[in-house]
Amino acid sequence: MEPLGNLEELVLLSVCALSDDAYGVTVHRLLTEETGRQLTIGAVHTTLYRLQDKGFLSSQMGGATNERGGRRKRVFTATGAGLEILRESRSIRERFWGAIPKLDRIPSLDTLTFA
Amino acid sequence: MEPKRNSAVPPFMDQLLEWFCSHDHIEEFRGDLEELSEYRTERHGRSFGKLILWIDALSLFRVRFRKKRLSNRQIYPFAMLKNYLFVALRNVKRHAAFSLLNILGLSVSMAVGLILILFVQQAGTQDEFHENADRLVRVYSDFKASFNRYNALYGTTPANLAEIMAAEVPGIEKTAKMRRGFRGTLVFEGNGLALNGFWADPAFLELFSFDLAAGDKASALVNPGSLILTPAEAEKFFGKEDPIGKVMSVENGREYTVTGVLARNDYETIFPLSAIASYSTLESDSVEVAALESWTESIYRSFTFALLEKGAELPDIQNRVSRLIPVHFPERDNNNLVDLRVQPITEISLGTVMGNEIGATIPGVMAWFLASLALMILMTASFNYVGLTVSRSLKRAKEVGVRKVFGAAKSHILSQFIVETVVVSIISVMIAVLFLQWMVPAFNGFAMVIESGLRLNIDYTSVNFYAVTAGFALITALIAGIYPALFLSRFQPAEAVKGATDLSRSGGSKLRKTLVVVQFSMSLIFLVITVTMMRQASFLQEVDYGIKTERLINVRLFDVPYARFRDQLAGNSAIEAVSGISLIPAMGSRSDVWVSTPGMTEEEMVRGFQFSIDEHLVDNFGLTLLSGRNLSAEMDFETSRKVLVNEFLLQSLQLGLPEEAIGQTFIMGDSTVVEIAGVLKNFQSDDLSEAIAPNIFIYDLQSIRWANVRIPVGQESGGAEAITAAWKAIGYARQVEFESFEAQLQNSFILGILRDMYRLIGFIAVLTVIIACLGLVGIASFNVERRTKEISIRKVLGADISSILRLLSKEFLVLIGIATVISLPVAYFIANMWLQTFAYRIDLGIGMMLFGLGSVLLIALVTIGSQSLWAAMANPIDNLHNE
Repeated sequence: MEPLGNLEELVLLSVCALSDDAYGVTVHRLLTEETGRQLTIGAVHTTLYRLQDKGFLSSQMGGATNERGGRRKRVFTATGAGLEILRESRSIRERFWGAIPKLDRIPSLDTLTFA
Repeated sequence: MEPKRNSAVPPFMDQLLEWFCSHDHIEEFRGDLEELSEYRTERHGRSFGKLILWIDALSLFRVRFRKKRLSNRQIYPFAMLKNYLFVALRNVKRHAAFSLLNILGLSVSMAVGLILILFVQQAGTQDEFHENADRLVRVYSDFKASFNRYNALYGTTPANLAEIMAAEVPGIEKTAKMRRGFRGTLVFEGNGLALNGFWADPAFLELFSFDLAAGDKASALVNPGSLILTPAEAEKFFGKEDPIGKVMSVENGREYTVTGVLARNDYETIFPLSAIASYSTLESDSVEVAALESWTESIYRSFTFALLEKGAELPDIQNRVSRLIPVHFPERDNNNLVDLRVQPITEISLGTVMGNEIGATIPGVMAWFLASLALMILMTASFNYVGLTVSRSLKRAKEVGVRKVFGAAKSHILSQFIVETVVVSIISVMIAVLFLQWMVPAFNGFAMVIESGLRLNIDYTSVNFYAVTAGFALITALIAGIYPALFLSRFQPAEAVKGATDLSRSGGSKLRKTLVVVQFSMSLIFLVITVTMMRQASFLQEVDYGIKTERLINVRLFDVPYARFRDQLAGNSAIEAVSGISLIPAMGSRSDVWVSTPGMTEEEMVRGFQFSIDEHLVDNFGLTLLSGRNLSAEMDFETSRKVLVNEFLLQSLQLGLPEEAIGQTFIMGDSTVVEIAGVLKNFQSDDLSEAIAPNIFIYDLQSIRWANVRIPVGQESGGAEAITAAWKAIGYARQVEFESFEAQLQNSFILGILRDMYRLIGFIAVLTVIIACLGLVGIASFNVERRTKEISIRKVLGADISSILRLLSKEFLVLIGIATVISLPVAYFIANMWLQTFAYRIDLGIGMMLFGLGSVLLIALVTIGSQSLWAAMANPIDNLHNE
C-alpha cells in the first residue's frame, strides 16, 4: 500500500469526518478551520484526486442543488483501503504516544485526534 | 448548463476556467468557486476576499486538470490535413467562377504588392554586399554656402578630409576618397560613349568589394591616367579583345590607359557604375589641383569614405570628426561648414535626402509610401476575400455542422478554413508571379523608377524571392482568412445542420455592409484622384509657355563649341535660324543664382534662373523685348556685365517699370554688379510645377550647351538632314542628339511623372473598382439566393420586375450612399492638396466628383442588376414547388 503524505492524511480524515457531504469546498473549509492553515482550493482538489488515484477515495457526481449556481458537485467517500490506511496510521501513532508517558498529560492535542 | 448571471464568480474567471480546464472538472470547479466566494467574502472582506478567490481559481490551473486539447489532432495530424486540403481543392474546383473572382482579385493585388515590396527591399539592401559593409561609413556635410541662404545637407565633403581623418581620428582603419564629375565622351578609334563616372583613389577598391574581372586590384588606380571600365563598356569598345593596356581618350581631354575591368555590371550599389579613373589623374593636373586645394571649392564634388576599426563606436568617431571642423575648415567668405556627419554606407539608400548624392537613391519617405500602398492594395483584396467567403458561409454551414457533430472542435474548423485560405492564397501568389513577367518591365519603364536610378531586378532563383513570396502568401492568408474562419467555426452544429437562416442576420451581415462601404469609398477616392490627374496632365500639355516652339529643334552640343556648330549650319537653305542657350527652359533643370540690390539683407535675396545665350535667342524663341535692347556680340558678360532680365525680376527687386529699369544695376551672387540692358516679357522658364521666377540672361558663348535650330515650313526632313550633316562635319565622336522642342515639352520630366502617376493610380483605381464589384457580385448573389422564396411569393402576389429590382438594390444604394458621403470629401481634400503642388492647375470642379460618383453608381447598379434580374424574371413556380 502506498504511504500517505501529511496533507493527504488530513484530507482523507476530513472526507471521513464529513461522511456524505465531502467535496472540494467542504473539505477545504473543514481543513482551514480545524488546522488554521491557509489552503487554496486547488491544493485540496489535487490531493483529493491523488488519493483517488491511489485507491483511498472514490467519487461520483452528486445532484444539482440551488446553491453554487445550480452546479453539481463531485462527492468523495473513503474506500476500504482508505479506512484501512487511516487505522494503520493511527495505530502507529498511538504506539508512539504510549511510549511517551509525560506528553500524555499535556492537554488539547485534539488537532490530530478528532477522528 | 448556462451559468446564472447573478453569479459571484467574475465572468472573466469563468472564461479562463472554461478555456483551461477539462470538461470532467469544469462544472465541479465552477460550483466550488461559486460556493467558496461567499466564504472568502465572509472571512476576508469584499475586496480582499475577491483577491483570494482569484488565487483559488489560479490554483486550479494544474496540469492534472488541463483540457486534453491536442489529442485528436495528435493521433491523425496528417490525415486531417490531407482531408482539409482535399476539401479545399474540391471547393476551389466546384465553385470555379467564385474561386476565379477570388483568385484573380488576390493575384493581381499580390503582384502589385510584390513589386512594390521587392523594389523597396532592393533599394534598402543596396551596398550590403561589401565584405566590411558593417564597418564602412560615408562622411557628409551640413554646409552653408555663400550663395545660399540656409545650410543644407550635401553628400560631399572637402577633398582633403580623407587624409585628415586617416591621420587624426583614432578608430579609423583606412579612408578612401572619390570625386564625381568624370563626364564627357570616352573615345576609342572613332567610337564614342557618354561617361558618367568618377575618380577614386586605390583605397577605394580596398574598402569596397568591387571585384575586377581583369587587371590588378591593388595597382589599377595608382598611376595617373588609369581607367577601370565596366564589362558593358569594355564589350562595346573592344568586343572580345583584351582591353587592358588600351589607350582611350576623353573628347577634349586627356588620354587614359585601361588598367582594369569590373567583374559585374549589376552590383547593387549606389555608385553610378561607369568608368572609374584614378584619383592621381586629378592630382597631376594643375587646374584640378587648384580646385582641390581650397575646401570651399572642393566641397561640391568630393566624397570621403572610411573603414572603421573593429569595435570602434560610431558616436565616438562622429565626435572626433566634428572636432576637426574648427581646426581645418574654419568659416571663409561666408562659407560655413556647420557639421560633418558620419553615416553607415548601408544607410545612404532609403536615407535622408541630400544634395550632391553619390548616385540616385529613393528617399526613406518614398519607401514608406510604396510599402503602405502595397499594404493598402493587399487589404482591399483581402477584404474582398472576406466579403465573398462570409457571404457564402451559409453554403458551408452544413459542412461545419456535420464536422462538429462528428467531434471536430472549434479549433479544427478554424484550422480547416485557414488551410483553405492558404491554398487559395498559394494559388494566387503563383499566378501573381506569372503576372510579374509583364508587370516588372512596365514598372521599370515608369519615369519615377528610371529617375531613381534603380531597376527592379527580380532574381527568380534566389531564396530571398521565394521567402518574400511565401511570406506574402501567408500574410495575405492570415489577413484574409482569420475572420471567415472565426465566423464559420462559431456555428452551432444543431442550427447549422438545420440550415437556420438567422445565421445571415448575425455578425456577418454587419461586416459585409462595412466592407461594401470601405471598398466603394476607396474606389471612389482613387477614381476621383485619377480623373483629376488626367485632367491636370492634359491641362499642362496645353499651357502656353510664351515661347514660339513650333518647328524649333534643340540640338545637344555636349562639349562641341556652339560657334563651331553654328558656323557649320550657316548658309543652309533648310535652316531658318539658329540660336544657342545653356539650358532648355521649362524642362525642370535650372541654374540658380541669388540676386539682390545694395542694402538687401541675406534673407531678402531672391532666387533667380540664369541662362547663357547668344544674340539670336530672343528672336528665335519669339520672346518680346519690352524695353532696352537685345544682347549683342559686343556685350560679352565677362567684360560688359550687361544682362537681360524678365519683368518678374524687376518686380522682385523693385526696380520699377521696364522703361525705368534700363541702365539700373543689381547684384548677382555675392558681389557681381550687373547692368540691365533690356527687359523681356515673362515666359515660363521652369517646369509647370513652378511659377514664373526672376530670369537673368547673359551673353556667354562658352556656356552654351544647346543649339536651337528653326526649320522653315515644310522642310522638316531637310532640316534634320542638315543638322546631322553639320554634326558629322564637325567630326565629333558622339552621335548627334536632337529633338523638337514641342516633343521635349511633352516628354518633360514633370509630365512624365504625371503620366506615370495617373497610370499607376488609375491602375489601382480600376483594380479597386473591379475588386469592389467582385465583392458586390458575391454579396448580391447571396442576397438573391436567400430571398428566392420571398421574391417568388411577391411575384405570385402581383409584384412586377421593376419593384423587385428596386427591392433588391435598395440596400446597396444606401451603402453606396454612405460610401459617397465618406469618400467624396476625402477625395476632394487629397486631390486638392495634390493640385496645390502645381503653379498651373485646374479647378477642382464638382464635375469630377459627379463623374466619379456616376461611374461608381453605374458599375454598381449593373453589377447588382445582373444578379437580381434573373431572380426577378424567374418563374415563381420553379422556386416554390419544392416546398
